[in-house]
Amino acid sequence: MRPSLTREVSLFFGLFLVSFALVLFDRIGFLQVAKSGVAYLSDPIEIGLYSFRGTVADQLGFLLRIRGLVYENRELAQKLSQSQAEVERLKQVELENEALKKQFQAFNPQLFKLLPAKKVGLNRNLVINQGERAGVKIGQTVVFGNNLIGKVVSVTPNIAKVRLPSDPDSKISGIIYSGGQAKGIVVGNFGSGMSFDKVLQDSEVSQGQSVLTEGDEGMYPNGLVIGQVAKVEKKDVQLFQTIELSPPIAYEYLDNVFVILE
Amino acid sequence: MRRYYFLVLLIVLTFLQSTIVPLNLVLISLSSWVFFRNLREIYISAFVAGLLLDFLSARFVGVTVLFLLILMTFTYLVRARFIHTEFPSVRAVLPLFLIILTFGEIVFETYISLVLGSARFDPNWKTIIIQDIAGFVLFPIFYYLSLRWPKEEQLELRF
Repeated sequence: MRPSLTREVSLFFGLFLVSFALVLFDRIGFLQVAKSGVAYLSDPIEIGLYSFRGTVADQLGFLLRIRGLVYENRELAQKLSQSQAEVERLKQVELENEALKKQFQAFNPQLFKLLPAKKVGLNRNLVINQGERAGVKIGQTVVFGNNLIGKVVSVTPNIAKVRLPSDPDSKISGIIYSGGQAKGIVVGNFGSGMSFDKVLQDSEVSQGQSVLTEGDEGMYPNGLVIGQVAKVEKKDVQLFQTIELSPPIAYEYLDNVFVILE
Repeated sequence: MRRYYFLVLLIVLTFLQSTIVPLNLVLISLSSWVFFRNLREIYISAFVAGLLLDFLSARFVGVTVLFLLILMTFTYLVRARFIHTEFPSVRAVLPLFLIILTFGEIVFETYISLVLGSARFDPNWKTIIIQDIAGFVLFPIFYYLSLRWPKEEQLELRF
């Protein structure tokens, strides 16, 4: 073996052992201080990159939309006159919606303490602008309306990262109330979709139904919408159905969410 | 000072990967650098980038480093097995690089799923193809930079 290659082999084993030791240390929580230190340094860079992407996307989007905006403007001018008549009717609808919203409000402020947070970034995780200083802790649930947005998996003093149900690391007990009940596990796929696994063949599931949190494991409140059934596939030879879910809301258009503190 | 340029570039790419670019830029960079940088530099780069990725992705620290070290060793051995000459043709290197990149991404996705307990083999082919295209574009750029920032045991490609 060449002397230089011996050095490389030693380096490989040295780095391998250090990495292995780091994994073990992290498992028993010895690296929290180091993680906080890195987060302290990297948070401003991450937030800066997220906002840079937002600015660039807005500018590019505007340039791409100019042609469409001209046509849109003409159509809007025509529709404006029709809209006047609609206004009164919509006011009536708005009043009805408000009443329905109150009736079906998922979260009673007396039962849940909610913390409003703003989205500052979205990659694999959703990044929000509230952290330890505001009382956010790992494991807390994040919602928007009656929809489950995810679970806090990492917190620094000023920001928190939320694992979405569509993340491949996410597993949530789900249930569909449809005459009978269909129970299973919602698992995230690489990409933005989800699968509803372990649902027995005799359970009646159809497209458009909502999958809700079961709440049995104590990690999430029950009754939150995880996703909607997008596709159902039944095969006689299989024990379980193959069900694909779509998220209840588009995460990229979310601005504000709520962290359930208690 | 030039010897640290690649490390700085890799740190920038790691931040981009963990925030705004949905591609495995670290894997693309390291897999291509194996073809024209020396192994010692690759190991150190893999260690730094893997560590940073783990810190930024809320995973167990060290998990990605272990994977990258093994994959880079494997890539180096494959390169050494198929490319014998000191001046290999780029026509031979690029397909080999793309095969290794595709294989690396599939194994990486599966490995991360296993480590995190999902145990699902469900590669996202769309992302993998986009990543291969990105690798195809970035490989010549990295090679050009490598010529500008040379190191000992530099491997020159023949066009």
